[in-house]
Amino acid sequence: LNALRVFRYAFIVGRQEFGGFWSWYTWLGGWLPRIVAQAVFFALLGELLDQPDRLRFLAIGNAILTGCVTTFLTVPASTWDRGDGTYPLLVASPSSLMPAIMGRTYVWPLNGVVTSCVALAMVAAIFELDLVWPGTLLVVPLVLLTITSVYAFALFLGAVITRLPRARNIVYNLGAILLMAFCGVSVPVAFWPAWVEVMAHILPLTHGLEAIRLLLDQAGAVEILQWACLEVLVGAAWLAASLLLIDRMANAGRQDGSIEFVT
Amino acid sequence: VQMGLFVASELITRERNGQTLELVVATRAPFFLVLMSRILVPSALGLLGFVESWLIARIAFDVNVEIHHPWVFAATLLLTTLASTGTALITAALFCFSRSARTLQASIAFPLFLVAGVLVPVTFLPDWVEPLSRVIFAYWSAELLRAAMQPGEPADVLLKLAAIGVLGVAAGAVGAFLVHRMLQHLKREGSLGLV
Repeated sequence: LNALRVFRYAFIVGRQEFGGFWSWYTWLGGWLPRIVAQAVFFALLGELLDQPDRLRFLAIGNAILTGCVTTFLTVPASTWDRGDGTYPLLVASPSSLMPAIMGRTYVWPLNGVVTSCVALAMVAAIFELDLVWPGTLLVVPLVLLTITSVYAFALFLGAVITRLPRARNIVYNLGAILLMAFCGVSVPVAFWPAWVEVMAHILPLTHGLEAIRLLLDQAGAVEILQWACLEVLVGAAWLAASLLLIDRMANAGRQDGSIEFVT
Repeated sequence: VQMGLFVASELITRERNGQTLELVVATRAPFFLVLMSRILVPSALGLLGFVESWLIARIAFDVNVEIHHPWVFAATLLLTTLASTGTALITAALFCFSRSARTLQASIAFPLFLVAGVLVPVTFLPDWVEPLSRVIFAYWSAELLRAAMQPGEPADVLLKLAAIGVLGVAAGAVGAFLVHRMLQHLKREGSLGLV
């Protein structure tokens, strides 16, 4: 219950912070055109190659990716307490750091889910993708699952850079590029060498995106569920790793006196 | 281009946050020139991305991207860097009033690149987009860079280089005017050093 209360108050902070980034009109007038442009930008490669299948692959992959990259802002956001000077207070409090960090950053995956769904709807309309209604609506829980899994990975990276807060933007960019390049967004995972393929399967997004593609291609429910379950497993593993790491990193910082204010 | 836009968008905001804007404005150097030189450096550093991409294509994908017309290529990159600096000056002036310049800077790059036909030529976009593309310097830059990598003789090179230059200078002039107006506004409000 205490953890839930911490999460709730931290979420209020995160929500206010998000309001400093985006208002309704800047989200609709700035962010929305941006995510649609990003998805269309890459999907047009399919048009250039004159391959409708490729276009569909790129459009779906890049629409889902927009929300994942948004969610990945959790990585730098995990360290913002350092810049605010509130991190030592959080470390000193009896509660675990996890609900505080999760609460403050949870607004990013929420934005990610909305971003991916809106981007998918927009590219589907722009490229007249063949979708079956209302079955396609089941994509929403799959997007939620995929984004949650990406969020768990971002929390893990956020915990890792607790000791190196100045590396937050580099880690954010590298992590986002990993997802972009290797998780089956623009090219199938099988395109890559075997060792990259193995890496892709332990990253979030790979299985969730495959489940989304299968759903939109009207594959069997069992097959879709299999991929969705794999995404659950991957996400749970990254969440467990973050849970194990986050307080240990904070304690290590407390021991060597490195939880100071960092800009 | 993206590097210049990225840095420029939050340059003034960072000066204000650091309480150094008043000091910089108080110097005799024109403020827009100070801004332009600070934008030019990261824009030029962004050219390293070309080397990086070339190396990745060569090493990771075993694809040799041959530059058939190196002078066209070099002149285009040089002018593109200058034009992107001029364009970034506009964003520097416009975004300084935003509560979060970074969110706005994140919003402009992809629509700009899409409309300019950077990845896929604008012929793949609706017809009404093309007139819009022609007033973006990146459209001409992309055309020339593609032509520099084709074996055939590139057409209208000077005209296209001139288009990049003119659009860059025009954007720089608009940017300088906006920076001037922005400073006037901040001085009038007495909020140069307030955030």
